[in-house]
Amino acid sequence: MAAPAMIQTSAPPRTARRERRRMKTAWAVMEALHREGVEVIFGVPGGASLPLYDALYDYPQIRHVLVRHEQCAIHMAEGYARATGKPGVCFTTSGPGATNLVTGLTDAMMDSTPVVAITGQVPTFFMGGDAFQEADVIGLTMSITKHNWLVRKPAQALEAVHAAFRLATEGRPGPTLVDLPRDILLTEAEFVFEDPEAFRPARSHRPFPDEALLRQAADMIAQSQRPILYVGGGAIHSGAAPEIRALAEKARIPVTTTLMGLGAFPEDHPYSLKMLGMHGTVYANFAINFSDLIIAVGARFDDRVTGKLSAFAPHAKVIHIDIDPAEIHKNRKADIALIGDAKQVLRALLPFVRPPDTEAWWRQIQDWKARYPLRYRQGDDVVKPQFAIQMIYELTRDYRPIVTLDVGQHQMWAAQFFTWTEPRTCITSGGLGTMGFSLPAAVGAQFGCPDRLVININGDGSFQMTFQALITAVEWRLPIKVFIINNQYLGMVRQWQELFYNRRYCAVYLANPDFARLAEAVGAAGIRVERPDQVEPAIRQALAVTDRPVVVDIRVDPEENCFPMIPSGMTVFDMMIEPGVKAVP
Amino acid sequence: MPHWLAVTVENSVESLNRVFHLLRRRHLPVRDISVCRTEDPETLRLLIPVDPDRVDPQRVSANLEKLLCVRAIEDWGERPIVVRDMALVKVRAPTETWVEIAQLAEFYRARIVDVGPETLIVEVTGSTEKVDSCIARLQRFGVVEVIRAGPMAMVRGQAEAAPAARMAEAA
Repeated sequence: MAAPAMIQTSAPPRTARRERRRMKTAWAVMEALHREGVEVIFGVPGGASLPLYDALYDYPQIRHVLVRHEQCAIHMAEGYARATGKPGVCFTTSGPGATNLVTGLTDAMMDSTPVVAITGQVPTFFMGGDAFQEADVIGLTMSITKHNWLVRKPAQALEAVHAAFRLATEGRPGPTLVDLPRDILLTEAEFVFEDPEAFRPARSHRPFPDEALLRQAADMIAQSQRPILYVGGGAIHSGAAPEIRALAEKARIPVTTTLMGLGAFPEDHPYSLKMLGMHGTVYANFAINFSDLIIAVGARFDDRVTGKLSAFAPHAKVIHIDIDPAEIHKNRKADIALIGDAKQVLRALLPFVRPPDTEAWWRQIQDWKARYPLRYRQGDDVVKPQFAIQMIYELTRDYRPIVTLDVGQHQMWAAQFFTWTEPRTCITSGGLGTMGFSLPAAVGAQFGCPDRLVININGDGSFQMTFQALITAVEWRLPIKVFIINNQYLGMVRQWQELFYNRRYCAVYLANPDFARLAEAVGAAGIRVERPDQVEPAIRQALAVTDRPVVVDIRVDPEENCFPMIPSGMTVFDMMIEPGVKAVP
Repeated sequence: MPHWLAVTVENSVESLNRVFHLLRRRHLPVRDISVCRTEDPETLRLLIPVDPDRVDPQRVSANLEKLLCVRAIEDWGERPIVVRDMALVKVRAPTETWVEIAQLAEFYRARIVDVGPETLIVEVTGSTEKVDSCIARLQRFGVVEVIRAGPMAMVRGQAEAAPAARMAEAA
């Protein structure tokens, strides 16, 4: 059997032509997806969704990527969306197929990722009766989607699908779901196709900030002495990186980003303080906590950023720029709320901005930077995880890779030791912290950006949660580079047990398989690294593999800890730079 | 003083489900939600009294306005409103107590709407405090059952169109 060809770059044409056609609902749904410009769907077929797959057969221009578990399908859709900005699409059947999406939908909700899930449902005449493979998908996913639609008759199908795409991408992006009962999919009806924009749901919109408010914000910036830009994932969704840079440079304001905001401001810029928060840099955390003005852009004062909220940045005023009015005052009271798309708001604000006097502030920040750089010590025998990650960065930076990170210590080290310079190049599960996210997300990102180098930095624990995505990557010959930072532990949990549970290691040791041989068993290349001098050759060897995925199993120091660290619920004054040693402002 | 939000939603069980689901999920401390029919059979008006000391009413409305089933939200804030609550109270009533119950009902401008062999049903309408008070007074006869509609409310003297209609004009 011939393997499927390498993925191609040509997208199907988006068509807005109005036409009236008679067909079964399943075909109408496929036609609607085609008109939405969908080029790839991640999914698994099943009984209730069979009519949809029958229709898919007639749409060869839409590629279907068969996954081995529906959780992979939705994480792939997320990876695709995060890399491209376009909504990712996944298909599942009813019942278990749909319930397997729950983690990914929640993840997409937390990280504001636009995905559209299309789920099969049991026939309408069975619904509510506990039929085989029936689940209350609308009820289950109500709080983890922006909206979901149960299509009860053919006439609702087009509106549901097109509205799902509109809603997923408008305002604050997020997941939507359309539940399609099998009998409806098989019912023939007359459908009127038109410009998908015609199906945009009516929404109320807050008025754009007026000039008086923008001037007030600009005055607040001009009068500040210790301002800081605090940039989150919303800036990336909005495409606001150029405006953030313009604001920082015009007003000479330091910039820190959240995990989700990595890449929104170039970290090789002298104004960058890199990431803040629990494992952020000492200087970013000191800077925000001693600031007198926080300009928050598309960020939500998450507990991983603030630590103890009541003690966070006690002297700072807040200008909060966010597209979602429900984020304003949610965690931290804003002095000025600029509600709207970050890019548009910053563009409107920039002409009014005058630089404050930040000389003394910068001297203070440079002092913190000099005293507390990120660091680790690499010896001769065992590989330090930070060293491995830094080498991956050094040897791949010229390729401008898209990097997916999983969840745990390796995620924090990668956030720290990569120099993130471009939006949409760091794809990780921020809000939900979903272990298993990154490998399928890498597959999705590679489908979205076939010409880019896609790197997956994974943990040994998280790799095993969605390992089966590697099989799909092999099937499609995706040249993804998977680096497993293998410390044979659920490392972050072990670190917490070491630091806060008196080294009582419970249920954290991982009896791992040989990952290199596991990779080879499914048709990927496998490389194992055990010594520091093997790291560089292994990365170069991995980069030379271009016809299939490669897994590099890097055996690292099992008990290396991730620092700096502000323990959960504590303050910047509790920030550890190594066990028992606190950073001093 | 509660801060009133009047939320116009699609008239369906699903939309009620979505609203209640959201309030629960966000742990917003609201109770006493009244579900009211309106002049438009397609919509329901949810009247939500919010205690501003417990939650910022803005936060409640900012979350609710994300729901597609929500057609409009009116923040009544401190505006003057008429509030009417209604209760049916079934009291244990041997014949010798009828006169006394009737007098009490008269005092509250309540009505006796059912006379059974051992019980009377009293219908009382008015402010929430008045309805509370009437039920309290009836307790000594032995209250068998109380059913309340919850407060219905309207802004006094405003001649603008209902929020749902204004939303349609804007669209």
